[in-house]
Amino acid sequence: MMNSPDRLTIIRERLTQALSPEKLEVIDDSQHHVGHAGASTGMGHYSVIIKSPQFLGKSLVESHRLIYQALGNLMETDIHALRITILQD
Amino acid sequence: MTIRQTIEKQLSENPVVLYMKGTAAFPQCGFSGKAVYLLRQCGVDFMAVNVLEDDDIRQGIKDYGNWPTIPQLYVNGQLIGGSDIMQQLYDSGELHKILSKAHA
Repeated sequence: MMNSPDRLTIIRERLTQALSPEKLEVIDDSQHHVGHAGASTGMGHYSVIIKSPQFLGKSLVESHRLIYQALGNLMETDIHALRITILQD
Repeated sequence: MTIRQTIEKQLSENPVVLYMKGTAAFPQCGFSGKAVYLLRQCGVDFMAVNVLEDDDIRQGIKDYGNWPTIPQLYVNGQLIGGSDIMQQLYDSGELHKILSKAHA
């Protein structure tokens, strides 16, 4: 498990690599969840705001799946919760 | 019965199923709480499955829908999404439409 700044960097890297986003913002929300059951594991809460040509013509479920797939094992080891906002044109 | 069969049975017998952390009365996570709230706003009956009571279901539902997070909303056996998608569909009025078809 990584520390928080490293996690943000690797989340950005993986999403950039997989989805070539036109816009990407990754926010660490973990401090808002201190004391909550999921926070005690040391895993983080994050928000992703993203726009990518790869989402064109895809359903919301398919688009979110692409994000989860890009993050891969981080969803098991480092990310407790992920809020996803997909920006449209 | 395998976990997959258990899930298939839940989905075939219930038009609206929410896999969540905690119960509808006492959600154990903010995202699950939001999902319950949105379904209540739409005024539909739904089956809530508390994944915290059963580790096999908790992992099984992630594998079943190829979706790594909880909550998950299923309508007529189809994965609609997690709480972010539910919120987006609610805001656009689409969630009402999807749910009204489920109970038709």
